[in-house]
Amino acid sequence: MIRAIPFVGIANPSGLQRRARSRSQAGSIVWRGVALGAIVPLAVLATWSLAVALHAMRPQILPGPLAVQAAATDLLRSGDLVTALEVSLGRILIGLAIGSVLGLVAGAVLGRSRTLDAYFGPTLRTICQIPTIAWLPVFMLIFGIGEELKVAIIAKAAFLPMLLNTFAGVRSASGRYHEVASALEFGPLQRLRFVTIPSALPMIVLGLRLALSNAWHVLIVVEMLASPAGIGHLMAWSRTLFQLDVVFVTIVAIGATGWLMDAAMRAAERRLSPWSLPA
Amino acid sequence: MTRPLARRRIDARGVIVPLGLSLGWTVTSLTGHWNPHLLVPPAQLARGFIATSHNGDFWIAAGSSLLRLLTGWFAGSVAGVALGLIVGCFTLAGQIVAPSLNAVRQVALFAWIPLLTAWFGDGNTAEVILIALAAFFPAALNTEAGCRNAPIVLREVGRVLELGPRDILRRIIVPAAMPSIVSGLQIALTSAWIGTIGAEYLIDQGHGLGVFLSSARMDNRMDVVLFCMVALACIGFALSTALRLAFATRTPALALTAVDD
Repeated sequence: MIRAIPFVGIANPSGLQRRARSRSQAGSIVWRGVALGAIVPLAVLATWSLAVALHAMRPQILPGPLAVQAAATDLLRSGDLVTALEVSLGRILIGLAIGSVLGLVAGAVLGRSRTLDAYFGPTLRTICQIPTIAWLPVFMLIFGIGEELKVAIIAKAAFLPMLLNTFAGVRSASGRYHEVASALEFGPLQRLRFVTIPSALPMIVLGLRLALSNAWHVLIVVEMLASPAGIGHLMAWSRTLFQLDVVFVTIVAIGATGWLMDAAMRAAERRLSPWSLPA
Repeated sequence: MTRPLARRRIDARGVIVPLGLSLGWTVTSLTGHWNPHLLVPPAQLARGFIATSHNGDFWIAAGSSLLRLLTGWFAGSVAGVALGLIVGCFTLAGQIVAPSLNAVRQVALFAWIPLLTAWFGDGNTAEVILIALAAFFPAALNTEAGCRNAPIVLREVGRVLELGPRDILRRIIVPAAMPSIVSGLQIALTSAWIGTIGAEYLIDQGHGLGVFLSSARMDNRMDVVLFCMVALACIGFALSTALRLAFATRTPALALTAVDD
């Protein structure tokens, strides 16, 4: 939920301005943006190379850019990185499927029925107050440290955002649209098809996006703590062996995977809910 | 006036589910069909809770966690708000810094731990840096968004009045961005608290609630684990409530935002 707002900067020209500009000007603006955005990474790279060249820190503590690049090539060629990511993504998929379906159903039911919400809502909302990471020891005692632990904790991480967002989405459908539906004498199925689902869908997709991001963050922790495989394990194990070049590669891989998943979800958000209903 | 009061009254129906659950817990644990280590009998749970709350080590752990949290949160928030102001107020700074920040933000927070422990050792320094990092991003993001959304009308008023850049920042942009900055600080506190527990739990050195929790799990003490969980939820709740009250009493500047609407 914390990561929903992007860093935009007032730099972004608004759509209107952009349309008013000619194509070549728009192109030069893009290049200017790329060039300015590259300043910080290039400066970091330069400082890093310089520090390595001057032997400012021991190479075990600060491997050079070339060493990191060599490690990346090695990991890609041996397939270790891909295998680790496959394991992690497989866990995400199963856990997310379980957690988000449960969250969707629970959110929809509580959203529709004020009676059930009065009974179960307070308990669920209290549980929401406890962060997923605090559940980890309890889950470890219950499920051990096997595969069930990862699936359970991911499902838990995905469940709450899905529940809360579906709930909010279903509740926001009330009011005028339901009045129209009543005037048109819609049956329950038609009401679901034309009122509830269209108005809840944007929130549901947002919930899924938050669920995925939560799940990814939690999975890294679990894999670092207790796992014989996965990207988090690869990272923690390389750290134990003091192969910081591999650690660097895994950090980039974790960031890139997180970004890709979020980008995919944002694209899905635009595809699935191009409308926006002012509730 | 009557509605908020009525809503504040507790709906008795909400109590039934927890009561039913604890009744089920009691009955199942008394029949002894389930593993008593997991489904701790209520009497033992109560004893565990009382024993832990009288345990000096627990309070030392809670105190060090709290101290660590506040240090990291303060450092991260100050840095985040400062950077957010710069990025939000100066177009060029935004263009230079925003892409890199967005890239770094994609990395899951706890993925920094291996690197931080390698550089700063398995101790307090690495933990505080991680907590600061956890607080930094929400503080920076919200400050930047608040500055960016400061009503243009107000900025123009500033220009008409020929205020200098410093006065525009101090009298117009910061007051207009204040609600967003405050909510950024609140999110930063929650995020930093999660970072504190996670860092302590993963690094598992020295004192701290996370370390206490980790050793309780090693000892297979479900009662102590549950007590810690309740305690850290309460601490988190108390901290965010305190922060909300602290800011609620002194933000008259909020009136400015009405112009934007």
